Amino acid sequence: MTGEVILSVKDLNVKFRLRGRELHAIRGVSLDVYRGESLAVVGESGSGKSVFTKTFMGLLDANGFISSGQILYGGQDLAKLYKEKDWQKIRGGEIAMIMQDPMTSLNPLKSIGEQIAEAVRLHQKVKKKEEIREKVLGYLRDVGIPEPERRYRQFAHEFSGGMRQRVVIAIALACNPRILICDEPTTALDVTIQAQIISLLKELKEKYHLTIVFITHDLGVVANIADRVAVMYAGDLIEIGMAEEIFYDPKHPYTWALLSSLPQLGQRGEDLFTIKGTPPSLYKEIRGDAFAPRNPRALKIDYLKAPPYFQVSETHKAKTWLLDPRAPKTEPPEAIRNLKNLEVMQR
Amino acid sequence: MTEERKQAAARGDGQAENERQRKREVLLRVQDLHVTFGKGKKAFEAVRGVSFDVYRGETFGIVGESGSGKTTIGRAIMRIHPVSGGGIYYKGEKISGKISRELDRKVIKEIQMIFQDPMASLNERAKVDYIVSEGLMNLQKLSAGERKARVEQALADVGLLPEFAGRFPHEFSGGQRQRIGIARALIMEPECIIADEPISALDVSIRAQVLNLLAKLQKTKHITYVFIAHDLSVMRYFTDRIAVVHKGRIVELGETEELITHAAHPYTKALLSAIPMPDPVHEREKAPVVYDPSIHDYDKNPPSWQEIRPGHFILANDREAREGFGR
Repeated sequence: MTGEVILSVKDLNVKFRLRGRELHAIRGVSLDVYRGESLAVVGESGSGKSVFTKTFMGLLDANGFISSGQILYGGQDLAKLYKEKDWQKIRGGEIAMIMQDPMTSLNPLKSIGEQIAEAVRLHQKVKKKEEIREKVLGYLRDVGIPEPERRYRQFAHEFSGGMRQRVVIAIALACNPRILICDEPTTALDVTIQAQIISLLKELKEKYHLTIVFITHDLGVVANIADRVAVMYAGDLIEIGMAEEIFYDPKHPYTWALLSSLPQLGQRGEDLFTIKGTPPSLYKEIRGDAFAPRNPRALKIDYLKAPPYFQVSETHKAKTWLLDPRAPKTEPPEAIRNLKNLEVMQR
Repeated sequence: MTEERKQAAARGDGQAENERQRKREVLLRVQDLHVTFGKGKKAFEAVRGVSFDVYRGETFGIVGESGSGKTTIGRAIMRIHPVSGGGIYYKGEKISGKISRELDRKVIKEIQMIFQDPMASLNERAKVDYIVSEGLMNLQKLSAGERKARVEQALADVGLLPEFAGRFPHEFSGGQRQRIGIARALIMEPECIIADEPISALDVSIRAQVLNLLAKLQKTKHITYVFIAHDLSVMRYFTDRIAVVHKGRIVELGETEELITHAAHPYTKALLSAIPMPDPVHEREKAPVVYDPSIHDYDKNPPSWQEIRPGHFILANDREAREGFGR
């Protein structure tokens, strides 16, 4: 992928202090985000995907800190920002975020119109009441809320889950951001609503020239929206590539495992694929490949030495010794070899 | 079917017929169920005349979007919500409305529930030991030793270690907590489990583990499941038959494979098109089907149950059954 880099993360390390111990949540991640793309960050709970994106907005919990590395955005290093005042220039106006649960991210005591108006006032410096109202109604229309005039005065509890998430998206848009981070925006929603929200995000991305970073644990959801997919495991980015490369030609055994465990691929009467064991503790130094203990086909070297990135194509790289020319030839599991020709469930 | 039966009887093939009958023993019958919330002007009918049978040993899926009434149906079977019309029958006995104390105890023991959110459904202030055995202790007096043994057995059944009994829920991960929720149901030795979105709140990799566990328990303990979910992709893998619910009514019902490959109702088609598939090229081209209820002309021509293929029913009026859905 070529294009202008809008945000560049360089060898980022994030640690948390917990009861006198240090938890190494992000272990040296480097990543470029390109302007206008939609990048999906995928991983299990605890993989560090949310922590990673929270650092872009200075939203780490009080006991978390960036121990080394850079986050370059618009000519400044976000990793060095610590004043709340400096962050306020980034948050919303440059980088906005949509959270998982729309009920907890809206103010229950303010009408939704006022909540969007607040963002318009603060970030677009609009003062005239009429003008603000017009803008808010425009955003409500853009996110597909019917009868915006009536809905303007209503409160969060009068909206369904999907509609609430649309309101949250409208607030994010009203901040006029360049990057929109979507942290599991559809996890709390039904599949039908999920499909609607995802197609809405795709539409808005074009209309508002957004760069989208989409965080999820569900690789199935990502195929629709992502141009590129980054897979995280135990605080490290273990594989990244264009969506086609990750789905049709995955290289890392962990990516194989994530794909294989999708219930969409299950066969009746047979057990679904599961990943054995649990992710490693990030309190301890990890030796070798972090996924090795859960990988039934791990090589000896996986336990001894952490693999470097092996370049598969210009856009695709993975951290696994299987890509070393000396490694034995290993095929991905049968179930995910033919995702391109999947039996299509819908007609 | 009746023709076939007559022939079978004529051939003296009664044994096979009996065998088939026994296999399809109705464990749970829901008949013209209505559930209404609120009274008078504010009354809202969440379930509007739903009927289905659940056969012993099968997994019966109820699928629909939020607000469709699928959870309300499950909760009505559990007798959490009172029914406002129709009835629910378990092993032929009516269990909705006023029932005898004896039957009440039997139903509590034999029909159990697994809840959606394992973070919210376990008592934060009780130890696992208490959470798992609470229901059992309500029904029968057990000595401390017996109780301990039963809890350990239930935990072992769901793949948890016996020493977990002394811990609190917050010490566990989401997948483990859902296992505790399953152990809590299992300890009653139920014949039927209502599972209300048991995997929606879990990570994809954990989902597979919990589904495998439920499948294993069904095999070893011969439990009948009513599986409630919004996601047809999980349903296809897990259920024998599926009822699709929309706005408090079943719009389509059939055997899983039949229903998915020959979906007839536009709402079912919309649900199917919403399943995200791990195939970027196909997904990007896909246009989601949106169900528009205004295509029906039900005020002029009310719908009824139509059997379009053996065992495959849809809710449609005569015109729709004849000409298909659409204006």
